[in-house]
Amino acid sequence: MAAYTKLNGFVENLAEKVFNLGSDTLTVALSNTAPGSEGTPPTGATSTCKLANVTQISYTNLSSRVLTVTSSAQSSGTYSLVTSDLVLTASGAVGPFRYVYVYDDTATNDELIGYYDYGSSISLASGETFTIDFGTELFTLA
Amino acid sequence: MDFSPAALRAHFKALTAKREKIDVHLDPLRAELDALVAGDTKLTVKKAKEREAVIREEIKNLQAKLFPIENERAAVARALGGKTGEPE
Repeated sequence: MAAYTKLNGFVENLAEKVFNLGSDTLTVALSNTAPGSEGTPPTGATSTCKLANVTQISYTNLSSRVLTVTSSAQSSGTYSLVTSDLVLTASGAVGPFRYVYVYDDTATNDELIGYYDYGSSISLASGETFTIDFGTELFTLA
Repeated sequence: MDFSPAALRAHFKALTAKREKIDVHLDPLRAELDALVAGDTKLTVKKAKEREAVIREEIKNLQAKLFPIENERAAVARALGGKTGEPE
């Protein structure tokens, strides 16, 4: 499973009522450009932490990128956002991509939450799938 | 149980069809929620907030139905080594 990297702007956006993670449309975006190499890196100031600053691949031939949120709740003061794994299915050539971002498609500016770096570029051919494993939870807040 | 690749592919396809049946209800709700959050509505602020609360509950309920389907799709996709369909 690829490592999850929180984007710093997410924390401020969370505190300033940008998200409702339990029922907003959380979606993945695929990119082959390193976050730090973007024209305006989304890793910088909070105002940069949005989808417009990510160079996305073409999604032609790719199935739905929307996540299914299972639980958005706290236990003993620790909040967890749990989603099911996402199966992306290709009906033609897709990619290459290396970075998988999670963003909030309901939020006004499609603000980003975090990303996964898969270490090397991935391409899909027709009939192939790429399964994103979000582990026990997407993230926790304590 | 038949765990042949052909049977698993058929099962994956059936699960995807189940997902699509739920998406038919979920997608319009998500579109309406987007519009409400963007302020693109003729409703009063109070009515928009009331409607938003109703939509969010409906989305949560539908996502609860999707969860086991999505997890099973992921398991089947892994079992097939990512080859869930025949190349076109």
